[in-house]
Amino acid sequence: MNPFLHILCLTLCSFFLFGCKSVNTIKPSDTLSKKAFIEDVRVVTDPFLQSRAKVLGINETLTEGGFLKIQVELENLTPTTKHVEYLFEWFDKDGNLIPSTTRAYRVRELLGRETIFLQAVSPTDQASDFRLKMIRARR
Amino acid sequence: MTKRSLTYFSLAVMISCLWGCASKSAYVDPAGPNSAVNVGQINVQDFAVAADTFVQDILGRVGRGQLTSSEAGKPAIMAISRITNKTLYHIDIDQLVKKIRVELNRSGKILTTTTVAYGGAEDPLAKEVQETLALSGQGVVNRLPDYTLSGAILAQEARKSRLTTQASYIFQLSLTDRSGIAVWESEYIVTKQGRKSAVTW
Repeated sequence: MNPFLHILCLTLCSFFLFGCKSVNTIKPSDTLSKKAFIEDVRVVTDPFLQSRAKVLGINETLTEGGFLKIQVELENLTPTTKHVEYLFEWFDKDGNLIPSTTRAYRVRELLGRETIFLQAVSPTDQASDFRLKMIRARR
Repeated sequence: MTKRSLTYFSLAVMISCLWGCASKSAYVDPAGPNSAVNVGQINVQDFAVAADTFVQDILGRVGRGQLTSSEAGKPAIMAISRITNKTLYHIDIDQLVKKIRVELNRSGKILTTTTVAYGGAEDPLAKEVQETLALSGQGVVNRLPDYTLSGAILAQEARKSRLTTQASYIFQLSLTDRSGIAVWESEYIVTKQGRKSAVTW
């Protein structure tokens, strides 16, 4: 191999490795918290996003005031930083959308291989269902 | 290609270019991901997300003994106190406060009084009705607020590189009960980065 090409390859490889600042996560092997995981149905229209940000689980609790609290565990499957925008929508027991003046997409940054939690509390105690929408963030 | 057809082709290209340059306006969903983002100002979606963060935090604490109504079975009453704009720009605080009020009202857990507020009644006519009823001996209808909402909005600028600037807007709110203790406090920070030219101050 041409020595110049060899050096170029090495430089490119080192650049690539330096660019991958992924997150090391440490957690107890036996967790004391008990999560109430729920079954979910996923409608994927963006396979690119799905291959990068994976929903590991969704757990649902009811607050003391009777509000639905949702926590979604999301993992960045890539070694590079990714940004997602997400939105929770809430529905009453009849399946009607609960309107909100504060409805807006939120941005979250996921470092390489990082796992984050998206949390939301329903706007009323009438909410019995929810929907999570995720899109690639504008950069 | 003949000279005439080349002329026609050039004209057609020029017309299509001019057509494309015409400014177009369109409606966008203010909650959607296509709304405008400026580094130098707080956008409508920033207020929405900030308000949503506060409302979710408040509602998540309702019924924990921290945020309860003084009258059992009735929603708590909140009054709007001073929310200071500590930034260098003009910010309409109502863009934040109104959203919080609307969402708390819709939750049915916390209602806002419009007759007791910092700097005077928000609704003078409602205040007058209350006073008239009190004077005519038809009972005092003025329920004192259980909580008062106060806070501040701050801004901080930092330079990331020669061309990129970062602007952070810090929203701080507190709910104080009748004994003067802040029973709920929260902070939300919006941070945006962009080209230096995008900053308006």
